[in-house]
Amino acid sequence: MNAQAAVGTQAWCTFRIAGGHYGIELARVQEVLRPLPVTRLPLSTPAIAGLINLRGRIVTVVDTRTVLGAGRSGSPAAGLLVVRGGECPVALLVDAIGDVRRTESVPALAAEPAADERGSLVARTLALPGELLAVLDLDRLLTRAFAPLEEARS
Amino acid sequence: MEPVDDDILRDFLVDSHEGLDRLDQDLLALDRDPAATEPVASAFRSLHTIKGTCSFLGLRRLERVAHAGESLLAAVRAGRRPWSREIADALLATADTVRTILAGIESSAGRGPDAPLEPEGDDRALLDELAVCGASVPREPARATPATPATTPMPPSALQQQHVRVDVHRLDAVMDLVGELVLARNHLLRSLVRSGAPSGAPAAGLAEAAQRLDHVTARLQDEVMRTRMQPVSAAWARLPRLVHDVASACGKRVRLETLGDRTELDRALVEALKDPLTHLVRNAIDHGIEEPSARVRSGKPEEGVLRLTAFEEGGSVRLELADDGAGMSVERIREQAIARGLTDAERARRLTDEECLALVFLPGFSTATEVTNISGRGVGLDAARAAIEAVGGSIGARSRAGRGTTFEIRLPLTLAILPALTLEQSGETYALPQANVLELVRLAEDQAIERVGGAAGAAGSGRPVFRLRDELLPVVELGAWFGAHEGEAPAPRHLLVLAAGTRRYGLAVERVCDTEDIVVKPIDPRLREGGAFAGATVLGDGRVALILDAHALAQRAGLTRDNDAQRTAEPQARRANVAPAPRIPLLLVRSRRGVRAAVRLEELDRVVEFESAAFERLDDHPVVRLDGEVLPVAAFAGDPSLDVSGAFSEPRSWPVLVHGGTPGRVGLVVDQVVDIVDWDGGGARPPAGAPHRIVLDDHVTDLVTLAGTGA
Repeated sequence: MNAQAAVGTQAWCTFRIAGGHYGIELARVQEVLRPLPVTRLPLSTPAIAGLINLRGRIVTVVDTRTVLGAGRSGSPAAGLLVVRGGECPVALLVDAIGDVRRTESVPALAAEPAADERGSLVARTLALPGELLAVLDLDRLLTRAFAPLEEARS
Repeated sequence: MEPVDDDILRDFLVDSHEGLDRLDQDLLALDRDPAATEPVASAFRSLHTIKGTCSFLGLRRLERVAHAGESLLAAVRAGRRPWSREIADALLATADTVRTILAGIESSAGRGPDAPLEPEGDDRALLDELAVCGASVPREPARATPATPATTPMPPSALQQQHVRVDVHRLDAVMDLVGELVLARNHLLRSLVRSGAPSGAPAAGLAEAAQRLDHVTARLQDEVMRTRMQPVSAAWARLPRLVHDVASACGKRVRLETLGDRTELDRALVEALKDPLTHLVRNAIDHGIEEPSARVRSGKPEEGVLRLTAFEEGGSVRLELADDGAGMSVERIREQAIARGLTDAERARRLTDEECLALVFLPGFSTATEVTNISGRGVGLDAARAAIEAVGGSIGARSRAGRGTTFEIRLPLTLAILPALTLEQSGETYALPQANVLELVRLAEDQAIERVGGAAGAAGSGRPVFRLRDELLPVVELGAWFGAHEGEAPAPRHLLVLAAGTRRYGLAVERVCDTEDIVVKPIDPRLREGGAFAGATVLGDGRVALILDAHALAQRAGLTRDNDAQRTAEPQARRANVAPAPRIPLLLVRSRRGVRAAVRLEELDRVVEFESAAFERLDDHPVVRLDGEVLPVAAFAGDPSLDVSGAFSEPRSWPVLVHGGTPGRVGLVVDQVVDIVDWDGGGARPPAGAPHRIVLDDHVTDLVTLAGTGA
């Protein structure tokens, strides 16, 4: 779904993880939350940080750092990005939430080769004024996060 | 043809299924009493309604079938045709065909506007049969009573007009909101308490408003829960037909009696009950009730009776399915369990009758000597058990040889809100449905969880077990499973004895906090696989707590079904190792200095807790008031750390053992009651009056004899 060329105006919700600058389609973002107490979910994969209470609805929190292979964060996460992922919303735990960036016909750089964990989840890289934005493939990110333990390790 | 509105179609399907169930019941009623007129009229109405809607929706095939059935019924109603076996069979076949077509319509719905709604099929044989039954030369009406005139008015039932059809999802949404309201109320009440005693008029008004909100919320919760309730008879609407069909196939005569149809249950539970009930009914007819000839030989009426009863009992619903058949032979069950490798001969011999009956719920168990197409393939009872336990219920059986078997099912009233224990482990709070909890044991420091088995010499290996009275319980240590946040998990302080199927096991947890009603909320289905949680709930402070699933936990811990028989037999194996000495129940208490002491339970009238303030002085003796009587108290076994005469200044409650000796009753104050344990007597009887050292669970314990220590 991210394969289309960057033609016309598109909006991205940006965030930071381990110093990297990432974005996902704004259309997939339901809301942005300040950190909430996260209930740990034992017996799950390391990519699942736990559960939060979003106005009475139980929402799964994905540890985006772990999924991207950036290691566990030392400091408490600063933001939660609630995205529409399949039938249930999912909250992405990120180091910091950035601005909404709109792009107009920005030439997309070639998709990074899937050399590492991170690379395989980046749909494409956009050259914005002054910085590079790695656009994540949300569906692949979530599939990876929910994959059973063995797969996540291999 | 115009595309059919999905909503109209869905309503039609729901109505038609209800109509067919009614039709089945009417036909079977006619079978019992062919002269009855009301069932004919009612059956006619059911088919007529289906036919009418069919033509409106353009369902030609269905319309033809319903029409043919209706014509035959019209002939019966007009008295032109006497009721006969052939007519009954033809009409039952009609109901089946209509069901088949409805199922086809259901599965084709949403396939696109151009696809035909009805499945293809050839109904000629059925139509011919109906025509033959209805059109043969009219004979003299065999009925004694005058037939109902064909002009019987068919007014819509007055009941229907008072009902509104509501989408289930909307009800679920309302229930969710009420759950939110309950949590918001909890939050408000808690905040009010925390903000201290309200003073001044505005604060008093706030407290009053909060109280009213509390009251209204509780009532609303109750009412909304009731809107989700359905009479349990919805789960057994199909049973009369099933009984008829299965009995005919087995060549038996069986009558179904139902009692308590109006008992109400959450609709999700009614749904969950359908399949297990079907299994049990098939089973009862196929295996339980004997052939008519065999029944006559044993002095019973030819017709067997299957009695289904439902009633509410203490916050849960109990269902009983009783047959008056041959009963289950405990000996046969033993033989079968051995033959199928579910247990060995030695263990089977030691099982009590009750434990033997529980074996029939194990997977792969069947006592049927031949496999019929109805049952006897070793599936059914274990599936029924699994389905009932999945919704928090339980099932058991009791049986008397020659008199019949009764299956007992217990279900909670509702699934949405359930009483649970909250517990703490490694910094997180969990909830556990109380239905699973049999017993709560406080673990004293010296009541360790032991390990048995494991490789020789490998320290720390082996399965954790706990000695509960004379039983060896397998233990699941929550701390080990759920991993501590940092470092070691703290030692468990409580052990919950849980029921999961026929198996019991202990769950060792850091701390049990409280009991509260929780609102069950679903979690992402992607997380459920391989997990140990039944869902989640929101606590009063807004945090999420996971709901533990007793079955999944047992399974993950390796207390799997394969080991089921072995586990059931384990306590017996242990019992057998112990010399058959008389067991003496002892009350185990602990003094402030940690000294353990025990007293024979038979020597005590009761154990009562008293607040410190309840201790008074009378004639310089410490006393408490009990049942309007003044009870002198003393420190148990002269415990010097308990200064009873100095009165108790710290606010707490004290367990007082009431001993009814001569010259009167006396209360003995202890610091803490630990447990009740069984003691094998240890040989000689100790001298009265003096503390006697015994070894209890590998610990030296003072056995105190009270006789002769009156005040």
